[in-house]
Amino acid sequence: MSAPAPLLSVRDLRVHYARRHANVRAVDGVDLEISRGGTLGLVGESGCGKSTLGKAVVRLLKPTSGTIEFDGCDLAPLDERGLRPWRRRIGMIFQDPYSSLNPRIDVHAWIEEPLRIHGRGSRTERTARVRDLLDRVGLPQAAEHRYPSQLSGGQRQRVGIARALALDPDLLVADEPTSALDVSIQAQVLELLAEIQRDLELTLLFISHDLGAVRQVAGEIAVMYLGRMCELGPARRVLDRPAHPYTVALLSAAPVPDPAVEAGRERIVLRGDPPSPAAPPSGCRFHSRCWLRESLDDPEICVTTDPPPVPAAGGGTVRCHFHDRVAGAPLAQPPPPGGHA
Amino acid sequence: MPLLEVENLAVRFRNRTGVVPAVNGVSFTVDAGETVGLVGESGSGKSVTSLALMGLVPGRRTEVTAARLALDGVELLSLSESELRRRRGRDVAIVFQNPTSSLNPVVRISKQITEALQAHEKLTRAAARSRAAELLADVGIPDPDRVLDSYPHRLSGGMCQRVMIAIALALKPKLLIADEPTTALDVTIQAQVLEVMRTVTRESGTALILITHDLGVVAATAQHVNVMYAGRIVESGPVVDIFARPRHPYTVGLLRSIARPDRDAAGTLAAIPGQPPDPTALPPGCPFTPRCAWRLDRCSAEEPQLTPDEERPDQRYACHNPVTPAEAEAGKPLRAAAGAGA
Repeated sequence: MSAPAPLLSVRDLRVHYARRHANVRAVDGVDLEISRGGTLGLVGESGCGKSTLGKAVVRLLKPTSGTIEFDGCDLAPLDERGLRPWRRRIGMIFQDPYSSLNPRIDVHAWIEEPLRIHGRGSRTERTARVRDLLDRVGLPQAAEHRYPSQLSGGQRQRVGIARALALDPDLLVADEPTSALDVSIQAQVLELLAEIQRDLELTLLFISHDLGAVRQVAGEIAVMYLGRMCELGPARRVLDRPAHPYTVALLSAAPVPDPAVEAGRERIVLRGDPPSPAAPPSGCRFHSRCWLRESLDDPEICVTTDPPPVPAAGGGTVRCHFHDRVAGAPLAQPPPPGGHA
Repeated sequence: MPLLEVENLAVRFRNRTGVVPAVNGVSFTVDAGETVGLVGESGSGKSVTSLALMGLVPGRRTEVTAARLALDGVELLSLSESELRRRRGRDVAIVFQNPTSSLNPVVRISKQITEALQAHEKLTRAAARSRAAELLADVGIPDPDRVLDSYPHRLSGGMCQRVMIAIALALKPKLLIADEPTTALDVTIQAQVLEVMRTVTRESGTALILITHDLGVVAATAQHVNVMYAGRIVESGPVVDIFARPRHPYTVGLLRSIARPDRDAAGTLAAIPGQPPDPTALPPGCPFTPRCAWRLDRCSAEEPQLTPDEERPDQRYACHNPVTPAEAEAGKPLRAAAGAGA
């Protein structure tokens, strides 16, 4: 079976911000693709450029260079006018349900707005569509004329999802959609997203720092560090057999709600903070904090040469000169299985 | 004797519309050197509980009562404000969630640390500074002198949180309260800060109350855990037992709601329907009843009390129809209990 053409294909994308004293290279040469109906989980820590990448894909930002091919058309060079026909096909869900809704606009008007702007249907048809959408995202019809202050965080996020779905998009970009919510509500919203994605056959770019959430929704995972992709591949492979030392460190740092696992695990605690994207390290961007490089007596190549993407065992690609040494490293062993299956 | 004894603590806020019972009859103890997790979602009363321990719930419109609230045998509620001031920092210290906003932005780090030292101990400036440098080294700051001369905005979130921990530990308190100390931080930085907290509390024998919504952090750090819901402790016990054999339906739901990075979820994640109750309009009886799959008719009539498990008395839960191990595994009730509410 040949792979279907990807719906989204990003090539050598760069987004640089000019700051007073420096040029911040938030996204600095990223390639990724998502097949139609697939979910890509984009993970990384704050400042790695994952949100900037998401905003560039929906073209809330103009990239500095590179291409964003969506359904065969490069969105990167388009201006506002040229983008208009594409806007309805890409929806976005934001992180903070408290600041991403307008406090003075009620739920109905908020969900209806994109329909109105794109001239969809008569007023009655639009109202029917809004009610369908409320149903779709699990909000009671009674919520229709409430204001954001009358809704809980989880309900607000559902409103945000309903609005993103209003125009029947093909691609949904969700930027940390559950991070601001309580654990039990996070689970509800994750389930809702997975269900919508399945039912509407949406393509989803799911941006998160939460490796657990990504595991539940994503088929593929891309790991970003300082504006670059470290590793990309099928979700299970990346999480169960990480090939990049940074992915190993991220997984090792993620607390697991199981004291049996926590007690038995060897932890890699990375030293220091991530360097500034205004002055990224030479060569491999992770070399200044890399535990593997340290264990190999600081090879020079990591400082001098940027590792190219190479195929990783088990699928996907990895950018590390010593990726074949990752699995053998004593600290990279997966934690022992927990008490119950 | 435990280091901290809390018995029947209640905190009520009075506002225009009535009384908000933020904490409602909470009882627990902390032994010297022990780490106790206080877990719950927003509004469960975990932060208010910790502020009450510090004597920091302000205002004429709040009411703090307890049958006993004693640290090292000293009843805290009967102390005057000036006595409390003397004890804060020396006996109990607190680390807040947001490190960048808990430091004063216009005061150098050195001053913010030595201030606490000099308020409680007679120290020369030079002695206080060298003590501050030692404290920063203890929390894993590689170049203490540079950090001492910095203003908070020059430091990253993880560095600021280390500084906060250093300040809290400056007077060698017996009890440290950490309120969501790593929630604002990235995972790799969270791992560093948790490592620092584990090391310093172990080395100095400081007891720690760790307040968090993250059961993963509790699993990695605490020996004992109290699960809070709607201003009450609904389940309490040794971490190993609570995670292996949760009995309260809320604990079971919370554990099942977590998306784990190391394992696929067994079935659906959304284990708890609905939302936490509005504290101004709590349902009668057990406050978890409306969201509970295990509820019985009596649950909305009669509030269950925290009672010890028959087999493991260290584990206590407040539930009329506790979850069996098989049910916890399945995530749903397996017995057709007589009188189960629909």
